[in-house]
Amino acid sequence: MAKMTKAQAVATDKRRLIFVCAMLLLGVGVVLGKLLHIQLVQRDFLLDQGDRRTIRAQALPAMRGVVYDRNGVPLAISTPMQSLWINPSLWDLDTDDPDLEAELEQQMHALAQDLNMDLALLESRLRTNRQFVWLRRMMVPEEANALLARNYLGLSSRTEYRRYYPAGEVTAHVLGFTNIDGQGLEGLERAFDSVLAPRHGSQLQLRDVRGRVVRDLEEVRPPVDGRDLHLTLDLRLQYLAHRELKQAMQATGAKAASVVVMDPRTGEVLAMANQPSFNPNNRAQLSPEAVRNRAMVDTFEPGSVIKAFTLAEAVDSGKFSPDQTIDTSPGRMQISSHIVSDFRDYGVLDLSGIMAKSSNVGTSKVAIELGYEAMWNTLWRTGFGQPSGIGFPGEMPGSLPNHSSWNDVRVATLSYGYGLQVSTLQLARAYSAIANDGLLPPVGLIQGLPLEPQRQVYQPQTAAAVRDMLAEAIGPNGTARRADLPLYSAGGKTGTVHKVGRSGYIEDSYRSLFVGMAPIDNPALVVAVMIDEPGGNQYYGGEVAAPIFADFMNRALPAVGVAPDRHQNNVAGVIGGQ
Amino acid sequence: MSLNSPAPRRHWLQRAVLAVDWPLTLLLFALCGLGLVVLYSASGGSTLLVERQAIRMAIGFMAMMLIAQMSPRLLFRLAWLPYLLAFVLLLMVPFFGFEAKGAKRWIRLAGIGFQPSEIMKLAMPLLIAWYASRKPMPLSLWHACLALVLILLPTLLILNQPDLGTSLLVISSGLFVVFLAGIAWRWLILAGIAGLSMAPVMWFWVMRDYQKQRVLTMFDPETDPLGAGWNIIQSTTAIGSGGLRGKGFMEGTQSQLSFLPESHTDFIIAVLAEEWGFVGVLVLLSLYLLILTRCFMLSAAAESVFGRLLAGAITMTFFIYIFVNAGMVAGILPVVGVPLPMLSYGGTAIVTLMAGFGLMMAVTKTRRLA
Repeated sequence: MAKMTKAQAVATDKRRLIFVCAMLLLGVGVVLGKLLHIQLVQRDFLLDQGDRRTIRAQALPAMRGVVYDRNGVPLAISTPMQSLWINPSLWDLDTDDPDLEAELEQQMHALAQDLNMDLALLESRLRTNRQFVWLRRMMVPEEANALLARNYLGLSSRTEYRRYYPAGEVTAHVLGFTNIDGQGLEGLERAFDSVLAPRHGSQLQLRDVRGRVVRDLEEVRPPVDGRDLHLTLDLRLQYLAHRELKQAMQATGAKAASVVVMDPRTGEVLAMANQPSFNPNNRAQLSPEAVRNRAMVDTFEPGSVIKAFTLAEAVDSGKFSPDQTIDTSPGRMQISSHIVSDFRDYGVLDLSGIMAKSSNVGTSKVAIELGYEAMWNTLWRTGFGQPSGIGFPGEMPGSLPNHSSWNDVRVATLSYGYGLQVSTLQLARAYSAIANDGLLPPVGLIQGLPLEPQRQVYQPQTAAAVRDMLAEAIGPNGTARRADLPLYSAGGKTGTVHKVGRSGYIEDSYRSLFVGMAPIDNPALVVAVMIDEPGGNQYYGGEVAAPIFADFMNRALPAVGVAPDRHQNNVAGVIGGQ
Repeated sequence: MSLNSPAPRRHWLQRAVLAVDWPLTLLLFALCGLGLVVLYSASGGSTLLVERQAIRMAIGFMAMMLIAQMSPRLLFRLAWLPYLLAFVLLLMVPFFGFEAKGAKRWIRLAGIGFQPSEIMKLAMPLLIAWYASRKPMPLSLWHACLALVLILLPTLLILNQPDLGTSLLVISSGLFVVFLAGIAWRWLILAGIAGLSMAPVMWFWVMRDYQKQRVLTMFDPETDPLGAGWNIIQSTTAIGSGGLRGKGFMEGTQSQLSFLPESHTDFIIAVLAEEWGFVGVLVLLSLYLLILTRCFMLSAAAESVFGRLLAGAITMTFFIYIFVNAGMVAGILPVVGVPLPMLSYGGTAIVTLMAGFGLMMAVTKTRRLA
């Protein structure tokens, strides 16, 4: 190529400069065009794509329903707590950056100290690949906020409700408890979980690629708190029942115990307590034995407390009148190969006497006279062998076998409470029929639930006659003298049962029972007491269970506003004695 | 020029303070300001990053002003020195360098880590301009081939690190000089054809898997949406959701919420596009075009061949930065690590670029100023 002059050379490389610049400008124009296309034409699609990546739904916590007693005292409440969680994916503990590593190391130590948490444990949680790990749940909000204020990397909190039971172990069995996620596990918390459970709301949130919340957007569904539950329980009576039961447990060294208090006119359960109990607010040492709501879950042979229904049937059938006499001598009788025996020879007794002395021979003779069908029927009518309709999880119906071949032995033993299985709750309900002029009430624990109508199972005068017999039983000639109340008329029946072991009845293992009511003319309360395996020398129902009835009634009747109906000198005696 | 001739008319600033091109300096100042604002948002409101970036910009400005004071004659005499230095350092990298993110690019000298390839970005046009301006214009084929060897040797070293982006910038800065020096069109066309026919060879023997993957995903990002395509999908999503007016400062969801990778470095333009919309992109590109126009004016006005070649090459390299980066983020070029000048976070590129502008100012000074 020919040599150019200097001017030509200058012109050449100026031209080339212009050429290259034009080319590059064209390139930038293409880029600009592409950007314009993305931003203006594809915009909506890409905006949607972007939102899909960043917008997430977040649950809004709602509160579980409150459980109240009949007077509006809260029994189970939820308190808002703060639960701390952390996003471990933000913690790049194996970073190459020494500055960052030192910073994380320092934060981890401080966090472990603040949480009072083992450093190794914290580190193991931070080294997971997840984006969400609980660090500490259910913290007092002030404490959680103080920690959050220190701006630890990825530390956040979430509101959770902690279930709290103000009455603690007093109401533990009835209420049951929830797990940490608020799901009912036991008791009413479980049975009525669908009612109590809140419906968590949902909220759209803007989140970053690591799931951290940047800001709240709209609320898609509002949180709905769970519905409240109003129980028929009266916390005052529940406390009393619990206290008496616990004292008796300690005094007798029994294995377990239950008490059910019922309003016989409505069938509402006013108190239901068991021993052993547990603290529902701290279930660290929870044994399955302590969780059982024995009053409706455990069934047993009721023994002599059943005699009330044998005698009720006797009167109701018209075959016996209350003052009809039966010879129980010599205190024992043989039915085929089986021997029925009394504590001692009571001689000639009327029906009240049979009740008062708890004569097995007497009831056996009555029952054989009544026949098997009537005997079975009286027990079935009063609710034995069937679920009570209380709707409590794990309630046992017990058993009342209807034998294909009844014989006199079976009829006789049934008449004094062997050969069937009942629960303490069933006893309280069946006695309510006697207390309620022969009307069997449905069992109620939750207010506002539809109930079956009351059923007339005995004639009113039958019920009144049996109440008189029950009053006799706690009188000076009865087995339950210690159930006598100084200010109130009362009636009740004791029971002492040999417990059944692997090979028949165990000689020195008993169950003591007492079911009673007061005031006797128009009972306001029916109380059923069951003591399982009382220790020591005292094991008779009249010695172990009856005093619990008396101690409870002495305080409970005034508490529910029942006026004393016994003579005033007793009042003076009680006051003077104090 | 005799020492006692009367002083030529100069702007009072130049007379009083420094020999710099003030229009260019002011434009760069504005660009840096915009860069810091966008970076603040891109880094999620990190004052730390902005602070560091500002310090580097200050160092860059100082370097630019210092270099601008040098006489073209001195620069011409020493033009070969940086190349030699950078070349030796590049040779040392495979043996004494240290790795970061799977590539060996860094070397530590006197306790300070830096990339020799970064020096080469300026050393290359310096050397080739020096070489070409000593040869008769236009450059003959023989001389052009010699220049090509000088260009290719360091380029291959950088490509081997591997660092596709930098090698691209280094090779183009050298080739621009050769082109500007007037090599005949027919040789250029022949070289173009040869280059195209080399493409299969490059693809099968030279390019690494991750580089091939990047090229493939440019054509269809959805083939590997979570891997190599992620950057492109995320950046288009971010840009697209900006629309015409943008979502507002610090309001970009894609870029703010870490969905956009490298949002404060190579992909920072996506942050701008999402938050400031197409309007913001236009403002930025206009600023770039103003700077380029000024650079172009300076190059065209340069009195020496050396100055013209060097200034022209630096101008075009600056252009390449913008084009490759914006093209990559917009998804029309494969993902190569080329930062967006003055906006992307990263120290060396800024200092290099500013030093380049300093060089340009130095060699395009009128002879009277020298």
